[in-house]
Amino acid sequence: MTVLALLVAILLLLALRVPVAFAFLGPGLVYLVLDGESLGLPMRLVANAAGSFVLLAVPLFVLLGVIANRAGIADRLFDFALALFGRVRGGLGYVSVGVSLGFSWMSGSAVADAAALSKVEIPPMLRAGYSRRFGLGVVGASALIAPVMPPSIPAVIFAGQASVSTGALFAGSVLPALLMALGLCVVVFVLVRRQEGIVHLGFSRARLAAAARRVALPILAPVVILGGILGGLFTPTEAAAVGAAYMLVLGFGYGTLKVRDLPRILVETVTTTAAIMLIVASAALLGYVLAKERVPQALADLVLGFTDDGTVFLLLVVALMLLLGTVVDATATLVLVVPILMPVATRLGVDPVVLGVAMILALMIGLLTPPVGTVLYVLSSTQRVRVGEVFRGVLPFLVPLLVCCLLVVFVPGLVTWLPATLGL
Amino acid sequence: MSRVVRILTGLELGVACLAAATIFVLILYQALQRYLPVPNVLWTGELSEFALIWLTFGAAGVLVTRDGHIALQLVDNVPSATFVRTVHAVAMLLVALIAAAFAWACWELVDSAGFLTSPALGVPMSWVYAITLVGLVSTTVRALARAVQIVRYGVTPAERTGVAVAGASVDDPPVDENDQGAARP
Repeated sequence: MTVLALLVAILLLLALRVPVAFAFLGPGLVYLVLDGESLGLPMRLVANAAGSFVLLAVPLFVLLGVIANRAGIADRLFDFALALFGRVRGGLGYVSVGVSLGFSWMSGSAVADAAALSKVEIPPMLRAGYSRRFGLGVVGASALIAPVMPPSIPAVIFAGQASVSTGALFAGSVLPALLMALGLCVVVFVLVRRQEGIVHLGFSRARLAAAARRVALPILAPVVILGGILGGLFTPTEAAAVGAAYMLVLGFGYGTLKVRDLPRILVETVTTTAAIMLIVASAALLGYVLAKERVPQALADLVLGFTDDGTVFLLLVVALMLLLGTVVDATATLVLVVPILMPVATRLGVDPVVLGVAMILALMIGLLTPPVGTVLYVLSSTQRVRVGEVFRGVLPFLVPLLVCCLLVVFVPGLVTWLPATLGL
Repeated sequence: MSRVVRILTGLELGVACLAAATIFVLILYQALQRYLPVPNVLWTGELSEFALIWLTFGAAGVLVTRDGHIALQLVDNVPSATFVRTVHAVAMLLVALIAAAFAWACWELVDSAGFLTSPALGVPMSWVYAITLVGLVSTTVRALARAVQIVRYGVTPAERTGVAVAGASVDDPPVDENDQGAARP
């Protein structure tokens, strides 16, 4: 009964547009005070959660993405992909997927990816005769590779909440992210068959060589970051700092970053990080309350009464995440749901890395679906089109993303193979 | 008045940025000290964790003014401007109330944690919580001010579309478009 009242209060606050963090904090505080706890306890819980060592990777990966964005790396990747795929029929569609794939190794945010790349990619598509709807769809859907491919901010948050190795989660995400890219390319292949009047670009070996030289150092960033983590040289948090430093050196070396840009980079980093971290910290308070009320155990008993099959459980989780993803922010969902689902997953023998990848994939699809599809709003804003138009463009690209979700559920080896091979 | 707000915003963001820069430098140093002949410093992790707390709460107030906190924007799609304005104002009042309660809780912690010191640095824990307290007080005051502002002037179009998440400020000059994507995964 108490838990029900707590959840109703949270939902009411969320519906009233109270920020997620405060919607968690308020009822959590009231519960503990009514339970006779000291006022200092909720504050200590929240502060301790905000100061978690694992989560130090969040500001650093955000910083890495912001620097990569401002250093003009997206432009270089675009030029390279264009030189490589420009002559192929529908080449700019593949270029879009390829650039997002390349950028995803440096950025863990779909929204930042969509904001940066839509301005680079959509205008050339329109000039080459592609429909605006196609451009919006492929750019929006490709942006979803960023939060799945390491370094992924949702993966860091999941790892922190579930006490899972961030490195294993990063490694487990690589194949599903590549599958997403492949699936999107298939949709591009199908859709460009129907598009008339597309202009194809010529191929120039010299242009490709020049573009390759321009992109050679930026594409070493994943080697530094993932190679460092998977090779045991750095922890994920340290790898984020090393990656950010590397990107900073490149930005200054290329002349695309100036010292006067640093305050703006830091401000963007802290506003982004604070918004995420406040939710994570507030969820710790809620997690404490739910644990005290034995909610995870009750839910585990409920689910085990319904099924003892890990695959069915994963399917239910994916369905729940797809549903929640349409209305609730992904960070909020992760921090709220992971501590509740983990005991159930453990009892059903579900690999936590598989659970994490499936949840992140399903939640990210919510970024492309109304009413809270943030990527839709970003594209609508940068391209000055209606949100409905963006959604219509995105619709066909949702199919491969959903197929990827199902593949992760039914073929968990896609996730577990790489971490197992690397001994993580 | 706007000058005071700008100075306070600068100070709060300054603390948060300093915390972010501290995390970056210390974690980088921690990574490199294993491979380079530099002195081994034991407190890098602890200070970084404190910096993350300061970053989180130091910027919390500014995010209220900039509508940068992540919230469900379902009501923003309602056509009635009066309804949207009322909901936004009520939400800000609730934020002020919750932040004030936590500021009080934090004050209790500052008051009672004075004798506790951190394991590696040996700094009093009340110092750690003091910056958190400042952030919570700022959040309370800014949320109240924002509620009044919404009641008087209404909600900006950026707030209604929800894409002004990390950059576009309500009362500051707009920042460039690259900023708008940052606050969500």
